[in-house]
Amino acid sequence: MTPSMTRRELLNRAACGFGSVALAGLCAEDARAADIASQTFRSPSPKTPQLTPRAKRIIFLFMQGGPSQVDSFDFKPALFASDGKDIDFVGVRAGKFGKASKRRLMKPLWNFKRYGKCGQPVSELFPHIARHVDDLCFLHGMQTEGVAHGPATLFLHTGATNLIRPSMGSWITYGMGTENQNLPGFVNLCPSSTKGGPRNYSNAFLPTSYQGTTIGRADQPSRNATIRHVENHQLSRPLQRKQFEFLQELNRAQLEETGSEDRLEATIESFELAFRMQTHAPEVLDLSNESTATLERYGIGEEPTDGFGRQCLMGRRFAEAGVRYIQLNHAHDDILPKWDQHSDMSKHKDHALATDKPVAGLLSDLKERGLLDDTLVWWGGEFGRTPFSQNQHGRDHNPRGFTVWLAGGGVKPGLAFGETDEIGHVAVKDKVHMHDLHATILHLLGLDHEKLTYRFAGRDFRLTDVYGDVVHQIIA
Amino acid sequence: MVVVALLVTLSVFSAGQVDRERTKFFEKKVRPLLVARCYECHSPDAKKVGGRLLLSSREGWEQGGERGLAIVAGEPERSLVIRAVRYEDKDLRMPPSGKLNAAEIATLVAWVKMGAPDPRSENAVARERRSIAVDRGRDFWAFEPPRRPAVPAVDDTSWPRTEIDRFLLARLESNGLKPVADADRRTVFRRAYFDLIGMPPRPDEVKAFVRDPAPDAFSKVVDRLLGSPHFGERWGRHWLDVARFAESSGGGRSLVFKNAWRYRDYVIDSFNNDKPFDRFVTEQIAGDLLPSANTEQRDEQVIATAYLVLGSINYELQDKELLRLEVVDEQIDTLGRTFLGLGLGCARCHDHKFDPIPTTDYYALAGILRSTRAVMHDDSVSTVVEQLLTTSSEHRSALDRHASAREKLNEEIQQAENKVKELEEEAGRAVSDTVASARSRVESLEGKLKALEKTAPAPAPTAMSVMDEENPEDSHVYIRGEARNLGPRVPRGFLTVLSRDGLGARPRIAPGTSGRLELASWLTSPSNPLTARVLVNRIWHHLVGAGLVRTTDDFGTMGERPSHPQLLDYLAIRFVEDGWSVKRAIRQILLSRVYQLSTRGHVASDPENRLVYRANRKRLEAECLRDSMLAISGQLDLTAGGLTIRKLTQYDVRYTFNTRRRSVYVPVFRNSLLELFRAFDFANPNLAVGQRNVSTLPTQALYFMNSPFVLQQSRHAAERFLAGARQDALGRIDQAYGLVLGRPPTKAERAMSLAYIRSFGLETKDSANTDGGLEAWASLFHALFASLDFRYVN
Repeated sequence: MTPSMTRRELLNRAACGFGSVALAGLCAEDARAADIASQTFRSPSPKTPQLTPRAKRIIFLFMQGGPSQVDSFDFKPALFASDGKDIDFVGVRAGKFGKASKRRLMKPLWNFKRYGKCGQPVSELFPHIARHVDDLCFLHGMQTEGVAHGPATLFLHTGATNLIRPSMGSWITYGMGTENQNLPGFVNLCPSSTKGGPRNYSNAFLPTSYQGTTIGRADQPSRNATIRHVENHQLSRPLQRKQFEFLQELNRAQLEETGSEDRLEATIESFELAFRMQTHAPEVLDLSNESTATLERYGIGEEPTDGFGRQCLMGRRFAEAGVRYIQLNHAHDDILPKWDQHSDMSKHKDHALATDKPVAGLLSDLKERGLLDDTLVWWGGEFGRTPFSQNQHGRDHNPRGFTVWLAGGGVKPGLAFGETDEIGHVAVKDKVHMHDLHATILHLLGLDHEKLTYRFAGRDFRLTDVYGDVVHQIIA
Repeated sequence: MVVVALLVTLSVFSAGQVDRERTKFFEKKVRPLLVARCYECHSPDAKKVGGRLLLSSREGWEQGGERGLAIVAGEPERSLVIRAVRYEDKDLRMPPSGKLNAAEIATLVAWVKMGAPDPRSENAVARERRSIAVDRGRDFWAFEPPRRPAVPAVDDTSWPRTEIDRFLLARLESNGLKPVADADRRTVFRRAYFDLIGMPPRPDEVKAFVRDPAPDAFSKVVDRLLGSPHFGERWGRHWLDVARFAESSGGGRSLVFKNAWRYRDYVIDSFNNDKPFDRFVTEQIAGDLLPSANTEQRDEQVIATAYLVLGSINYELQDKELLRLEVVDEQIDTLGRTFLGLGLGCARCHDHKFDPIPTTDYYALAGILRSTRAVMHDDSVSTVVEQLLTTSSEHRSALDRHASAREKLNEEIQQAENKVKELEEEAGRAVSDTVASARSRVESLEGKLKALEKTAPAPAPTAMSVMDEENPEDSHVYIRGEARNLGPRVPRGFLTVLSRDGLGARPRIAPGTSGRLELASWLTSPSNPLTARVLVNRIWHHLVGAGLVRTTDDFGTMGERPSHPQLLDYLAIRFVEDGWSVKRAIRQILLSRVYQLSTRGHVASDPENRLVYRANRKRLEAECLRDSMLAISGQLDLTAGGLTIRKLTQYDVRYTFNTRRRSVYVPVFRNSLLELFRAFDFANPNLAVGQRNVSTLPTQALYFMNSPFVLQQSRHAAERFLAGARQDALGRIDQAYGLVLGRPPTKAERAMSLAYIRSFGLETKDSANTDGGLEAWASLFHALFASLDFRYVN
């Protein structure tokens, strides 16, 4: 593609026709074209997927704060047996960096049972998810970068603890475009504003159209979640309509006067699309037409599952509507994030209760609707927790060994891949680094992580920087 | 000394013989083994290099791989390669296809033990290639010093007004093109207002200008606007974009930068005072090290260095050695983009792939910045260095008085507490009256302390800043940019490819100093080929709408070539000769005929207007949109400068913005930006941005249609306007267009607007003050704000 091509020429070449400039913003295919022409620096067109995609979209269930693996899905009988024993530990925190000390092992507070044909052990805190183990693919040997929440959360979302990089959702929509031209390609429900906040869904140096659209926020009930400014509470509907028609008439008159220009026409079209979005977006978010059985399955209308249940159901609706990257957040805005039990592990139970049923509801709903085949579901936090205690009854952060699970979208079901050592502390077998997980997820979506690049400031950037190996062993 | 030197020489000499033996051993035994069993994965020809370790050259294993050093010469037990071939680690067994036999392992052990002699010199070739690359790189246009061009001859001598015009016209003529017609006076006037002060002219100002017949009417306008305090607010903001200015650190536990506003005001003042740009650069790099005539100047210079510490850094990183590396990296990368238009970050880990910037140059710069203290480590979250500023003698003594009063009280409390302890021990923990009274004394003293803290004077003013480390030193190369992977030290210095004509890349640095003064003088030397070019190109970009080099932050080989290289050099040389005056450079462009062209016209052979045959239509930036709406609604607060973050702000998340100040004073938090800024492509405060995104998104349309801000300003504008002199609807329509678009409505616009107002059920005359009238006029303003002619400047 030559940089001197105008957007119109470009669109024609893309056989899109002028009418589709309307969708410049949210139709990523066209947005790419628009951005290439309107942003005066050269941005290469994204690479067409060279791989056969196994999944068309992804739902990421972000468990903010670092859920403890040994209390959830990583069953360690030896840890039960060694409760109260001291182990040697080398510090990873500032001040204690590299210094040896003794730490006391603490057994999980909950018992495990084996479930399904695969016999995967699950803590008694997750009875609903446990019923789905034959659909899940557990990665027990996860490792990541960053010992504190900020760096590790950014690493999970952007592949960098500190440097400014586009978020994974931005990379994926940049690489794949969107299926629904009336909705954003990357939505983020109820995200936290802390621990990196907006950078976790930022496009950074990718074109603006790939930034995540937030719907609601972590400190407000998900029942009120909506896209900003999609509704007008001050003007009556007929007045809005009348004003809109006048505005577009005025704009066309001005366009005629100043002479046609692609950008101006795209602006006029952006109003048309916005006006349509005012109708479509609230429809996706409106759960009132869902059956009682469906609401019940997600735990909507009861506590403590209502909040995350609504997110999960909206997640399914966005998946149906063709949104590519859907992030749901079990998160809040406090200094200590949700799964962050430094001093009282018993609170782990609250979070399990709030999410177990909704997540299970989402899995069975997706499966029944045939959506699980081409939707990748990812459950996980920014790191795990230590098997030894902190402040007597809590556990500290642990980036060296933890569990995430995947489901659907081309992963092997009923598989447990990777292992931590016998106390569940450090990954020892089939380790999967967060970079590897990123590479694998891109691979499942049909994107080669080494080829999905964007040129900025004289260099081609990747989500996985110079790292990452696709974990072929978990791909079905 | 002489003896030692002699001994060293002798031993080297006698070692020659031994070396030959060792090399023979390598060639005969080791090389074949490596080739047969290791090269498949550990040479450049490997499909994928295992563990990022190369065993095909000496430098390969010297650098090590992902797991660190591969071979410690002379120490097999500490060499990873030996551990691997012995299959000692469960995790690391090499070669994975099968263990070497005992003899092969013994060969490798013996080889390492004898010091791992290795004559393979692939990297010697690479090193040579690199120095050739730097030499050749000098031929690249941007790395050559600007050359004074002859002002070209043109056919149509009546057209050009200035020399700039001749450069552009000559190019057009040689392409068989002609510039379009001039824009009308009203359009040029509005254009100049937005370009110079970022706000629209008032209707009476437009009228006065349109009627002014004087030939120098426009140049008077330009001078007036350049002299306006709002000029610095507009152009200072452009600089804040490239300085990635923000008032919090972002990332994890985001720190609020409570004193960043001082830097913002410093920048605005510098542009208003037309501080010579070379001075401006020097102050930001090394202001704390410059001599000063008085305390104001000293403070100003200290404040300027905030530039170095405004970056987005995760101060929560627990590995503080890595944190230090990241801070320096952010500084180098920003500095490269801000001043030189070069991305230098790549060279942290390897020689730059596209530009001739070797890693050693990167660490030459890193040495200067590592010798500069920017971060204070304090437990888990680190902080930015701050320096005390001067304060009035009254304030100083109030602070001293307060400090000594507090100290005295604290001592008394300590004594009283000791007394309580003593008495308790005597009384064997039984609570007696004496104990109770001693305790109540502690309480009353603590009460006094609390009361004292309430009357505490404002804290002494401080500024974000840097200072030289006590022991400045050269930096090591950090192999692959990793915090614990040290290579050789490199002398402090600058980019080799830009250094010539008396400009040295490895300067003499004054002993005991970081080298920042030397860095500043290297950046601002007239022999530096980039600093002036990059800056005049930024000015051109803002005024004309596209840079001569359109990639304003990338003058490297991956960036675009200049459309008019001679004009760029002309502007750069003149800029330096004009004493690095930004205002003169701007004035010169505004008075050119090119600046005053119409935006209309289309040439099929140049759809992107690279030859500038017409003016570019520019979209109003976020700040201009907001400031204009506030100005038109009568809500704009023009107070200049000062702290604008609400007091007691501890975190930058969920900040509620409720200011009517100009946009440049709206706090810029990395974790929460004003919504309008986010929607309309405000510069990402995490990155040095010379060129903002220009996106057209439905979210922007939604913002115009439904945001409370636009609705409120429309209403305020209507209220203000209805409170003015009474007139009929047509008169009001004219007035509304004048206010919002700076022009009367066209015939068509007037007709449709009248019909629209009437549709609200009103008479045409005089009934505009009813509630319905307000709704109608507010709605008209709302539509005008959302219309193309408001959002784009012709």
